[in-house]
Amino acid sequence: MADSYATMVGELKELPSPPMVIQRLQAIFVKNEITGREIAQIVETDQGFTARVLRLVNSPFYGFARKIVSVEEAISMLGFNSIKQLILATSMMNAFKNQQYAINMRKFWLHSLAVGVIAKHLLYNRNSDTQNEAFLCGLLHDVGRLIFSKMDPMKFTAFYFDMKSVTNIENETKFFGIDHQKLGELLAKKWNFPESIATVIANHHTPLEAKGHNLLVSAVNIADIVAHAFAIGDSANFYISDFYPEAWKTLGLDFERFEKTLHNALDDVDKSNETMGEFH
Amino acid sequence: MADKWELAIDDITPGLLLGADLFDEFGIVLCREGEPLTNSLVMELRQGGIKKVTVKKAKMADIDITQPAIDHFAEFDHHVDKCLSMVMHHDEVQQISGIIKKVNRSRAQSSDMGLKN
Ligand SMILES: [Fe+2]
Ligand SMILES: [Fe+2]
Repeated sequence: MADSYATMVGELKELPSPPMVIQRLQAIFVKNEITGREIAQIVETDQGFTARVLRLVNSPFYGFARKIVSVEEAISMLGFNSIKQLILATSMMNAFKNQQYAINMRKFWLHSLAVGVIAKHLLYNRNSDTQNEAFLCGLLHDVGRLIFSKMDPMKFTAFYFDMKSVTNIENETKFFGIDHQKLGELLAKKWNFPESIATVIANHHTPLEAKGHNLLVSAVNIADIVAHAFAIGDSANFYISDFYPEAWKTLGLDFERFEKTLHNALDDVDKSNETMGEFH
Repeated sequence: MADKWELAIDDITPGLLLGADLFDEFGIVLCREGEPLTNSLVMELRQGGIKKVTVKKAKMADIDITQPAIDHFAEFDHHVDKCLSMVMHHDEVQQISGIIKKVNRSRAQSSDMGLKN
C-alpha cells in the first residue's frame, strides 16, 4: 500500500491542479513589472473567487477600519506580496470545497484558521507582511491531511479515528508511505506557492529540519500546539507528540507576553466563524 | 418517542439514559441505547460535534446519579493535560499549559460562558 501511495503522489495525479485564474496569475507574477490593475482584472474574471478574497481581506485578521470593496483596493492596502499570497491561499482552500471528506470540514478549517491567527499574534512585534504570511501559512499548514482524506477516506478514517494511536509523522509515513507535511509541500510546489509557505507546510511538525523561514515555521509549530490544547476545531489528531524548545526560543516571547498574545488571538478566532463559512 | 426526549447536548444532566443508538458522521456507532450519560461521555460527545441526544424519559429518582455536576474547568484542564501529555516533560510546556488553563478560566469568567471551545 505504501508503494501505491508513493507512486500516486510521485506522479501527482491525485493532487488538485490550480484553477485557470491562478494559472493566469502565476504567468504574470513572474513578470518584473505588473500593476495592481492587471492582477485585479484577472481575479475579477471569477466572481465567486473575488468575493472570497474580499471576505478574507475584510475579516478581523487584517483589521482594516473600513470595508475594502475591490481587489485593486485590497492590493493598495495590503501590498503586492501579501495579496498575492492571500489569493493563492484562498484559491487552494477553494479547491477542497464541496467535496466529500472523511473529516469534518468546518472543524478542519476552524483548526487551520486558529493556527493562522495564533501564529500571526505570536509574531506581534514583526512587520505586517510577516504577520500576514504567518496567518496564511497557518491556514494551509495541514492541507496534506485533506489530500490523504480525499485519496483514501477508509484508510484515513482507520488511521486517524479508529486507531486512536499517536498520529505523528513517523506513524503516518509507516501507514501511508508519506506524511501530511510532504504531501502538502508537493501540492504547494505544484501550485508554485512561495517557498516560505511550502517550507512551513513541509516542516510544521519538524521545525528543526526547515531550511530557512525559521520564524514562520516556529510560529506555526507553536500555534498548532496551542490550537490543539485549546481544542479549537479539529485536524484529526489528538496528542501533541513533539515540542521543540528551539522553536519556542525563536519566537523570543516571555510567558507574560504569551498570555496576552493568547487573549488577543482568541478574541480574533471568536470573530472568525463567518469568514470560514465560505470554505466548507 | 412518547417515552423519549430529544435534548441539546448542553442540556444533558449526567445520569440520564441514552434513548437511541448514537452514530458519528460516518455512521459508526458511538454508544448504544440504554447507556448512562456520564460527565466524560457528554464531554466526548460534545467534542465530537454531537449537538442533540435522545434520552429516555425517566424520573431522575429512577436513575443512579453518582457523578457530580459538570465542572467545565476541570474538563478543560483534563483535556489540556491529555493533549500535551507526551511533551509535558519540557519545562516550557508546563508553563505554556498553565497559561492556557489560566487564559481559559479568565475568558470563561469574563464571558460567563463556561468552557471555551
Ligand atoms: Fe500538521
Ligand atoms: Fe495542525
